[in-house]
Amino acid sequence: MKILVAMSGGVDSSVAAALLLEQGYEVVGVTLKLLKNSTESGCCSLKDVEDADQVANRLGIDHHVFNFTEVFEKEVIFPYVDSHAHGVTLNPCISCNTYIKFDRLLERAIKLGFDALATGHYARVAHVDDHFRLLRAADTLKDQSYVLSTLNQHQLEHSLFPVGSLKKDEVRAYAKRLKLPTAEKHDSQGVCFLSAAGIQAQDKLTNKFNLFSNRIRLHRGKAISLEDGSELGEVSAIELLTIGQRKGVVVENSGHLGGSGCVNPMPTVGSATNSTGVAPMTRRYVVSMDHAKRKVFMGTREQLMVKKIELSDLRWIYKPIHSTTQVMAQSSAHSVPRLATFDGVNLHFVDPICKVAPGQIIAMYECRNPDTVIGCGIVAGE
Amino acid sequence: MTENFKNRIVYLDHSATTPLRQEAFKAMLPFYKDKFGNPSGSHSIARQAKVALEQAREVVAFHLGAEPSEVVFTASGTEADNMAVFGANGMRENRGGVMLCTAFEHHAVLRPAQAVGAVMIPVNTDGIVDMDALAELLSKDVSFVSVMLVNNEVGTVQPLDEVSKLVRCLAPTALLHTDAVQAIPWLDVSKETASVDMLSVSAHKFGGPKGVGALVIKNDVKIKPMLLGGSQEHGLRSGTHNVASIVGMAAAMDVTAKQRQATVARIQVLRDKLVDTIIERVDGVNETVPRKFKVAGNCHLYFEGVENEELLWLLDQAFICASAGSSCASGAMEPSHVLTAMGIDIAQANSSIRISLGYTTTDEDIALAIEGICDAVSKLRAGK
Repeated sequence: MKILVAMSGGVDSSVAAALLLEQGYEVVGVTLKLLKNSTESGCCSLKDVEDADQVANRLGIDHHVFNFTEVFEKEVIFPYVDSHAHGVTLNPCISCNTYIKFDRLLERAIKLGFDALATGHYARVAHVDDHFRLLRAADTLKDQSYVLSTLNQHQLEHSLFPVGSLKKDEVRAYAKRLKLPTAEKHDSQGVCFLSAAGIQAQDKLTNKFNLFSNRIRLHRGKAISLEDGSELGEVSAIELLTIGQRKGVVVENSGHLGGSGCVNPMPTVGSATNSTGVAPMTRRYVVSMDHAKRKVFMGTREQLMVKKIELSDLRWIYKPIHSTTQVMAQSSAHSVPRLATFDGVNLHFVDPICKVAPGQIIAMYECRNPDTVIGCGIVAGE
Repeated sequence: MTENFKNRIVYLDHSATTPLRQEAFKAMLPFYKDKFGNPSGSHSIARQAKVALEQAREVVAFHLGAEPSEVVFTASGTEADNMAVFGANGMRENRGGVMLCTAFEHHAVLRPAQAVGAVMIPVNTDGIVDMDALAELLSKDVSFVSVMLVNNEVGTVQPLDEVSKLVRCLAPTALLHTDAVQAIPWLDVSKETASVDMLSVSAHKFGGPKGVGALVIKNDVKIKPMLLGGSQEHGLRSGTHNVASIVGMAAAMDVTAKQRQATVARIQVLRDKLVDTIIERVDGVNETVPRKFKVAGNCHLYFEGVENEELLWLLDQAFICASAGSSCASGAMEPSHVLTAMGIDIAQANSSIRISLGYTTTDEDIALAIEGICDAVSKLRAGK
């Protein structure tokens, strides 16, 4: 078997390549160049390419670089930015897996004569009764089955996740034993094109602002209190906000609304200024948005809680859910799965959960075998 | 790797680099052994190296149509190009003036030119400098113009005589430089030297060793040196001479010049056979520019709907070495700035490859390349 290993320059994909080699596969490494003008840091930067190259040298395998910048812009960055203009927040890592790694790259691998594509994802694939199942990783803390929940049978058939059956510390220990130069390398954090390793928070904000303003028109808006309809202040760009966001929503005429959100808080532009009487301990979140009127409605955590979420664009790993079924539903990469009933359109949660922004993915796992991914759906717009 | 050596490698990337000529290799050897002297010294070992250096300079000067005193040895074509641009820019600090270069120069000219704020001269879709645009850009204020002799990607020969006439007429004080790095195997550059002030060459593009080049700087031309130190090369390029490589470059240039007429005639037939057969056997193939504008060894083809990264991969698997665009620091292929400058869209640029023939190319190479390319393209198209 000939395997193409997508090597990001991190420890996981380095070990993935090493493991496959050890198992006797013919292995070739590839690193994707996804960002134009990517320089010293951040995912797929020059440093990462060099790291991957060094690992490949150490393992004695060929290493190539594919330039996917055009398709990455078209399928990942632009849709991500543009979705915000419509009040939708796509998950770019899932777009990248769905359209880049396990589509363009996998198809290229097959065309070039490879039998499968391997990545450093923490997940497992099981071949059961003529079909392929996607399972959570052995290391539940590192599990990435959520970001792979859009994959179909064809993609799973040709995908290998060699580190999925290992714990992270085992992966690092293995890398150390083989003296791989990436053994001690930090894990990548966040969205590759927004956060580069080592850059300051303020630079990340500037990055995000530039990323957006180079692609779509940004509009100022007003933050409105859901409690009394009062105006809380000015929002610098409504397109930079998402449901559940707490930090840095209001940039003028309002206080710092402090603390960390229940949905991954997103950075903001500008900084909070003087308080106008909002109680310092009151935590306010973006509960809903009216893009046409450029209004952002802020409320308490309680106002953010919902029991029902509508899904669209359903994708099933193997067997579709036809009748009302109990599932474990996971709404972000590292959130705790919650018990819910799926009726074919809506997820009804037993306990209320934090509202999830339209465009985000909810992955569904079997109740009886909570490691088994059933499929996923996109959170529908309001 | 052992496997690769069993299979015959078809090397068709001579524009990237060429195999070292035996004549060059033999000429260099003594300078890695007993003749190790530093030509700047005064004892017998140094004098021995100095004699070899000056003999090499005479040979290079002869083939470049220059006086020996006009030849400055450098460590690469890139250094020669940088020296021309930055050297001219250094003089500009006193005299002022606008600097120009074509938009599809090699990065060795383009990057330094951009760094000093040069204005780009447009090129047309045939890969030829736009003479009307050049005429419009030229004025008494222009202090430097760089127009490459042969484009490294599409192989087009620029009308340097006409460019020179235009520059002398409209920008009489401007220095005219040409990057002739790709020209030596195919053209008698000595004729071109007469019409320019500076000319760059690089040894490894014509069977010489890597890491050595030269810049011809006409005697009446003054530029500012980039490297200061021991004042070698009339103070224009400090640094101990790479005697062996310089000797190797001279030997390679000499044999290239002597065989040029025969090589060009032979290679042109092979190139035409390659292109004509591929076009005949594969649908949706086009030449990027008409052959009449190109040197004999260049073949640049556009394969509709085929990604060049994939095509080159399969060719590599079939032991056929070709290339596309230029590689960025990461090793990823970049959409070619040459093709973009010619007004070619990114999709076409990403579906084009360069196949460059050279003095070692044989009939068998071409037969294997034709089979390999036709096979790879049909595989990729079937895979869609």
